[in-house]
Amino acid sequence: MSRLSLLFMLLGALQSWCLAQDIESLEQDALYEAARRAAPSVVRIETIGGLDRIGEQLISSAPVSGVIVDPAGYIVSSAFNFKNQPSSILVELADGTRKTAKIVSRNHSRQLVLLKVDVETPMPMPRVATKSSLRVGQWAITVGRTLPGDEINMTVGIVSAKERIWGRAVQTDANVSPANYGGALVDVTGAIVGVLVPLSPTSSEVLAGAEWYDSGIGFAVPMEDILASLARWKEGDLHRGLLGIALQGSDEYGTEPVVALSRPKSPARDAGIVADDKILRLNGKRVRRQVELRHVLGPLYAGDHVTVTYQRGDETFEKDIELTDKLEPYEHAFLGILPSRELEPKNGVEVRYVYPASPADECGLQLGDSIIKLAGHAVSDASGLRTALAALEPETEIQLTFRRAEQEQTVDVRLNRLPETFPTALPAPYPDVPPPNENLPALGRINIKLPEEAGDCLAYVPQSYDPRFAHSLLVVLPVPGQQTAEEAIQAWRDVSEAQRVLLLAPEPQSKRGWRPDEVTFVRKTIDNLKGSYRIDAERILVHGVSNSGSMAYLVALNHRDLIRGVSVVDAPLPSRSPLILNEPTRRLAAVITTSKSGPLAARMAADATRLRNVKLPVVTHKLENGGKLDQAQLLQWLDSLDRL
Amino acid sequence: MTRCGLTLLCSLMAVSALPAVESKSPSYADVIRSVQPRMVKVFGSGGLRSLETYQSGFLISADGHVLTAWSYVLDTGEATIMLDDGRRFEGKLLSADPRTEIAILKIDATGLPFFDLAKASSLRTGRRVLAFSNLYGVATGSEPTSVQHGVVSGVTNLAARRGSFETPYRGTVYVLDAMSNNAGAAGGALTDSRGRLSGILGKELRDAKTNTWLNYAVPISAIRPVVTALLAGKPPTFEDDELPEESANLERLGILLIPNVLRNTPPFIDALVPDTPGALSALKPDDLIVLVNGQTVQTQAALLEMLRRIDAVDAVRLTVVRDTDLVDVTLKPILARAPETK
Repeated sequence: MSRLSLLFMLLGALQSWCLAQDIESLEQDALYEAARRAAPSVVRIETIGGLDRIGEQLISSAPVSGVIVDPAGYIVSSAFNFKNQPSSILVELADGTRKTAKIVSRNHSRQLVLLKVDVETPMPMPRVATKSSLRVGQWAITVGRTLPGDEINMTVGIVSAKERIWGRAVQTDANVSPANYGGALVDVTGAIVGVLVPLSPTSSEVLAGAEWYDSGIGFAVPMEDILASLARWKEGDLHRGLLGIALQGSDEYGTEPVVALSRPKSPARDAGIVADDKILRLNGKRVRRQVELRHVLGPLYAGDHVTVTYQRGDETFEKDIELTDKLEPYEHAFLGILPSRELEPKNGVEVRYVYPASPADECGLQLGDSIIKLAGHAVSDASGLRTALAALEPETEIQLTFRRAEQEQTVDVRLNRLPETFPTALPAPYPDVPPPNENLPALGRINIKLPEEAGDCLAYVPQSYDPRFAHSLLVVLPVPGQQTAEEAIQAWRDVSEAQRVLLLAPEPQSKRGWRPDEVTFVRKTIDNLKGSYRIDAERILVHGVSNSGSMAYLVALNHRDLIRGVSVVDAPLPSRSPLILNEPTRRLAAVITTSKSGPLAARMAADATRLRNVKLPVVTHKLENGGKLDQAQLLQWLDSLDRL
Repeated sequence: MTRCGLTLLCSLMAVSALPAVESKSPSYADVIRSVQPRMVKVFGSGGLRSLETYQSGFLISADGHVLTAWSYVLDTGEATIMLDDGRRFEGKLLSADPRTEIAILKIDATGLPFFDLAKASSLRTGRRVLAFSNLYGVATGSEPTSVQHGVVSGVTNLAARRGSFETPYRGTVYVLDAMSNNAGAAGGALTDSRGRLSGILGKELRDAKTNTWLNYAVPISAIRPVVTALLAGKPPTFEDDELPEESANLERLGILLIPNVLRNTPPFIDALVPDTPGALSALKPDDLIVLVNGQTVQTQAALLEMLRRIDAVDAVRLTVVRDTDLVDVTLKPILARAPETK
């Protein structure tokens, strides 16, 4: 080996060592450079005036960020920043010039606002990172402009996932908070991936998802999607696109998308889709489970077109359908019976009770008759009859076939609407059978402790509990500061024994009131109890007085898949309630009780109207001065929630 | 061995020895190993309900000077200092500065590894950082303090966001994207990616405006003169941001605002008093005042507070929103003792 070649070799080794050593700082410089390149398109926005809190949540009055999406003066920001309806909006561009801005329109599906400022010279458009260029695990840098001075603020992380929140957002683990909502998520080249927003997979509220700030879970709406719909957005608000179908079955992760009902006057109905049609493909994409349907529809807006391929019998159809933003409210049809709860049910739906003056009563249906066919659909059990009814509307004339003493009879029935009164004198909830001889689970007062939750919870199981029957469940929310879970259970214990209803009383964390986020805790306690006892999915009622009543609304409205009834005493519907819709396969009924007159009673009357407007059945009643709630009456109503 | 082989061997040795000598850009593991011996855990009094009795600190001299945060943990004037190797010392409070919220403790020990404040590095946005502290008291005994990594999210001045933060410190801070400022982290060290001291972690601080927690560190450059003064036994001096003897106010400008009924009523002009600077300017009723000397004011309260800090002898630049236009005016307040100015 020559001395010269040795020298070269050594130099080479030294050089590669130097390179390796500098990668770390090169990377650091690259990340800052990426943020700096995107910075000219990120603006500071300040709002003046407006509300300082929405409900219990404080609203940020600090500066927020926005991203330029059109050189003509259009800027996108997070709706979170404009929830407080400011009286004036000031935008400070990267070069320090200040402009006033107006809100042009909102995007209700992705929680964005579109702002416009008047500009003489074109504003700097950012480079856009396409969705197809994104790889999970690549660097993701957030760029905000909320600090004073002309410096940006940045955080660094990676792309955690694509197509999140039903296909609407990119997820990152870089810190995302009110300090950069409305700002940009950029890739390592400085191209803008998306606009940072708080989002929640389970709620479409503007403030939902903000509780995840700086938690490693952040979202950005892809810039590519924003630009694709920008022309339409400038003309008006963007809404989530709706097809207008309800699907059969409640397990959206497990069941096929078979239509339970297409809403009257909905795009699906207009296109000819009816109950029992099976959706095969949306826009050519195979949808095997209900949840896959949501993934395809999630990113679409009202006005977008979707190609629906569906199967009816042996035939396959394909329709191009324009999505809508509004559906006519759905109203449940009512036959007027309660199904029996026999230990060994016969084929068909045996009648346990006939509502007086109901369609069933008028066509002569009697106790013990078994319904076997409704509007051409054979029905073998109560859930089949419920599905068949869900596809029909009140006032529809149909044929009903039932069996009486081995004889089949067919009659014409005109369906009605669900009753809005308490039922009177129902038969005993379960048939009189000898007690079970199997091993019973724990009865009486039970302590429920969830491993991951701080809160306590009590349950009460009546001594007459029989695991062969599915039971009613009453969830009593104790009034914080006035009543413990123990006292709430005590108050309902006797009547629950008499009517064979299970009780559950989750304890609020604070004596001052329920916190909205405790709805999740309440749900977990119900799920926990359901794991050990047989509870009828159609008969779960949440009940609360005053502050607990408002909480009962929140629990019911946030968990439509679980709760079938809500009962409130002297409590208004919270202003931050989730969107209320009547859903064919997720029933919800309400009992609204007032004990005093005054402004609260007036507000509750308005709540009842609001619920009735979306066609939820509501029982309203007034307690005379000093009158007590008739617990037995309420539990009897609960017992009737499996009405058909 | 040939001479050639010997040269090769020597050269290789030289190369492999280089990182230790130069320490140009060592690995995080090396950096953390070199920083940890300089960190200490501070256990003190406090102990009131739900208040932690511990915090973090680091050595700034070989003779046992510990820099930490000035807090109730040091209320009794003493604290137990636990070194990285698990040795325990009784630390005495030498002195403290409530303005920068730092304190210096002294333990009886020599030959300790320490951070030389004179060699501290300055940071800018985007720099990678490591935060060392005993947050939540996770480290016990001879366990090293916890390390978190992140980047400098921004460099800002807490004072420039009046109303956001309740802290006596009004200078520059490094805002971090690491969850560094939690219970027990105050007094911890912020270093750059090469382990050079850059800042001291502050106490937990809530941003009243965004309702979120701020993660930040005070730059060493901002506290170095204070430390020097404290070590010399001299109380540090500050230029106080005292209020002017006579402030500008709405009366002196001749501006009447709409009734201030809400906590955050916006500063809309209701009327202008005839023959005042306001009336003689381009201002009009219904204008919304949005900037005072270039700084945003969102509420009437903020406007009054801002004016209170402006000396009445200085001109005030107001920017108002009228329809979609921004209008700038400069007003000279009427002085109490020399009423006529125009």
